[in-house]
Amino acid sequence: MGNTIVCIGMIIINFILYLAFGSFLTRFLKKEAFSVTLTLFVGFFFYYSLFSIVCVPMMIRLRPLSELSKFWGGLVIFIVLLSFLFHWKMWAGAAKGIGEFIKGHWIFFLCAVALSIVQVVVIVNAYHFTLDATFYVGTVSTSVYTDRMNIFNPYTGAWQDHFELRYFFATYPIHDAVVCQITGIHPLIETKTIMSSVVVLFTNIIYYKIASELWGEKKGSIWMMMFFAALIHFHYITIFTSANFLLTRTFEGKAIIGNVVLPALFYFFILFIRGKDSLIYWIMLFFICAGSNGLSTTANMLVPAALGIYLFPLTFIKKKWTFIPKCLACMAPGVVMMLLYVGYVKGYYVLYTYIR
Amino acid sequence: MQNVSVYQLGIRFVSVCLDYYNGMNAYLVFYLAALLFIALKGDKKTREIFLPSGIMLLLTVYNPFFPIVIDRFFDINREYYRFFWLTPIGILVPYAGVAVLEMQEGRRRLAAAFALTFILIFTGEYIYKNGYIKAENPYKVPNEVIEVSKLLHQVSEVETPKAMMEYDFNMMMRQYDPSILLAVGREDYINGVTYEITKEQMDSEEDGLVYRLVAVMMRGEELEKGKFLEAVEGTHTEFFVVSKGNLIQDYLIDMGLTKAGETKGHILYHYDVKERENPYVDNIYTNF
Repeated sequence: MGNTIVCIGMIIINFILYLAFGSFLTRFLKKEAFSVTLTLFVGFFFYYSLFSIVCVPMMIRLRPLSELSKFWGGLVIFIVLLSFLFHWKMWAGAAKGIGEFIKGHWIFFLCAVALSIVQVVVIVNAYHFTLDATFYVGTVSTSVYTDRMNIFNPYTGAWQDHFELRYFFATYPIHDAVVCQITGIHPLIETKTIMSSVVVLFTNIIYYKIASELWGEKKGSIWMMMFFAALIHFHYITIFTSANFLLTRTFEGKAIIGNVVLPALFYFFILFIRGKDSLIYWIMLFFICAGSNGLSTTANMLVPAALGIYLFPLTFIKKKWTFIPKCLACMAPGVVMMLLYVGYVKGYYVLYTYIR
Repeated sequence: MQNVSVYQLGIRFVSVCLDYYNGMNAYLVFYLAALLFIALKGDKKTREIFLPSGIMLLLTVYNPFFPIVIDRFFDINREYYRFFWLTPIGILVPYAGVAVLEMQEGRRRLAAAFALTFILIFTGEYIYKNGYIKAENPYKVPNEVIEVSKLLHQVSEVETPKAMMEYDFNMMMRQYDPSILLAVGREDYINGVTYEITKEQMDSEEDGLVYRLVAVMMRGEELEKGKFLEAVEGTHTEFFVVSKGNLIQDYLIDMGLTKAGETKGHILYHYDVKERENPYVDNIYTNF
């Protein structure tokens, strides 16, 4: 019971952080009502974009995890306080709006929340043996125990003389390690319960956002679409599908790419079609793309591909040629990461884990 | 996908990948049907949303020549399947389903909702078709892993004991307890379990010692004493965690290992190694 309360508390804290970070972006949507779901969502990626910017230089400089934990913890507290000062009126208004929304659509609200919570409970309480957990969770455990980042082999504990660049820029496990170090929560609980719950909730949030764009005020249709999407997630199973990653490997960054980032890109594509294509939406999209590179190396390849497939046709349909440079800017973080990795594989450079 | 290659399969690569990717699920067919439905019945806005990306996907990801081209620049053999994630099946199929419901009235709508639910359920492969296994504890590892970890620390004289475990425990133990060092990493273990371990491998300088441990532990091979103990000493492996049903136990005792304790399902064997190692404090790590 105590563990459940801690997990619920941590999920709420995570969402508060995402709200605080995301508000710095969504506050510029002056013409529209403040959207908590969009703010949370964008905030998640903004948060991880900033984390990567802080984390990568510290890893290269071989700093201990505890140094990163102190710095990141302090920075997060500062940003949250700053966000509170700037946005508390906006949040108060949003809270009132949520109250009215629940009052007006309480059946939909209850059903949508129930659908999401059932998925969270089923997914995070299931036992799965997956080989990749050894790496992803092992990295978190090893980093916390050794107070070092990516220096020891998570499979054995052996020292590695250089960083494995395939995973180096995907700092998501290191963030989990920071949280574990600050809170004392066990890495298995942080990864397989807390962050897995966050990911399942975000998957439902993005499907809600997409369904809302497609069905407008028809709450019954929105819920049915969310329900059908959930059914597909639980039944579209081979070891390769993104649904399988959501259900059995939720703690991996890849699960977020397949089930949150790619639908999010499709959501922004719908927004752009609907004419919501002001600069701030592109900035949000940029942070989703940049943040996803910190979640999983898979994003380096998939995000630019998704932008090309979803957005380039839109440029021609809408004849908005200014979309091309913006789209290229959103692709840039993934392409740069991909080139960095190719450079490493071709042997152009190595990042050593000791001072030479 | 480990066993597919663009080089070998050529333009058949995409269809082979798709077969593996979809298995017995019908959702990709539903996606194509939904695209057709939108093309025929959808309004202009809906067509703008779903059709261009569908066409782009057919021209790129599902184009048999596409992987041949990009394989020249990147090795995409193992991970090409992730491009299939770009197909918005989880968006379009539910959308089309709801659009069908919207065309119905009253009881017909309810009946259609049930019918669609059944279709989605019975044309896919349920994740828990073999039963839902609830995690035994909040850590989501078997209780035995926790018990073995406790036992190891009880009997070990050092904080970071080095052990050799069976495959599944080897993969789970360090997620729970990173203070336990393991003799064998993921790739060596998978290679050793999947393929026959040759004499050349066991004698190789690079991973020979590790392969010997895998050969004994997972393939039940009884190596000559000198070879086995050389592997134990060379890898500084002080403990062996063996499930009670593993027939290698008599051999381990013959090799000079002693029983150090047991849990419900596992026995812990100990060998008095001449030299212990702790990479967390040894070597260059201290130079930070």
